Amino acid sequence: MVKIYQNGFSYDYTWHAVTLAYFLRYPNPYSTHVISSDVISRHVDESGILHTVRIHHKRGKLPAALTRLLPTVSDSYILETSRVNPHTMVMETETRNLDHTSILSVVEQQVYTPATEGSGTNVQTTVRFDSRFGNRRQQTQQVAEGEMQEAQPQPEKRRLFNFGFGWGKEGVQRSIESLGARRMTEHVGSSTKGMQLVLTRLRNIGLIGTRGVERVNGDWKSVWRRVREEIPKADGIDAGMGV
Amino acid sequence: MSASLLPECLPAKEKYDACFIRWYTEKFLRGERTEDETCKKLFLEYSHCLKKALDSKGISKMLDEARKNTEDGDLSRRES
Repeated sequence: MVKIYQNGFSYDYTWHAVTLAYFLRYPNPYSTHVISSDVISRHVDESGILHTVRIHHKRGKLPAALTRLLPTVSDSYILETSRVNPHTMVMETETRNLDHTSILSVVEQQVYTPATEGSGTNVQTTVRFDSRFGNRRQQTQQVAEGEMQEAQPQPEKRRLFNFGFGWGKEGVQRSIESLGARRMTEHVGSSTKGMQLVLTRLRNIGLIGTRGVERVNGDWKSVWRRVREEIPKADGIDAGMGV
Repeated sequence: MSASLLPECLPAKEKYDACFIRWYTEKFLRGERTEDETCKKLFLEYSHCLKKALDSKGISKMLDEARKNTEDGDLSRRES
């Protein structure tokens, strides 16, 4: 039982600029729920592709209906992997939630390529929602124990849903996936706005220009200070409560 | 730039981030493959600091789990 969401979008900025903005996108006023971002590993492989693994800590972003169901779930860790190939001009990214995966696993994959016409950048987004809620939790253990039979729902949860909601396990899983997918449409909107804003500010700072990423001729330190100070600024932004 | 999981790692993270972005814009996007030695050194300091947070918050464990699941997922997709 899996739900798939797909979306295509174009940025009016060069591919080089968009890939730079991707690494600088947090924090921004549209993503105030991102508490921290850290680089776990990074290297350039033999074909010249840059591989990066980052971890983002997000606060309280699960749908309300889910947090009511599971009040202990308030924040989550997101694993982001990206590959940037400057020769073929393709950036592939993937984000997935690291915890609460037994409730809902959300895997978002994006491919950034130069637009076929003009100097913009196309982004193809695919998101996969998979709920295994109520299935036996430790699937890896199952394999280790050599049990190949169908996973059985946990008795307490089954009772809760059969009695309290009148839904079967599959119904709950479908509802969780739909909730996640609905939330995702809002999320894609605000993360795109966030990227747009980061791009605009990078252009104002002078790090990106009409030809793409510019060389910094002056004092790098002051450019970097502006990147740190100006990208997160909420001035004139009506981000609302975000998603 | 964004905060770090461990506030005490922020100075090391900021130094590394600045180094990386400069290398990324001035070298990597212009076709240079060689990684920057200064950035590498700064990354070691930063990740050494971060390791404590990854272990204590159980993230290292989650990362291993995710890696395992991804491999399993890839495997099952290939087989199907």
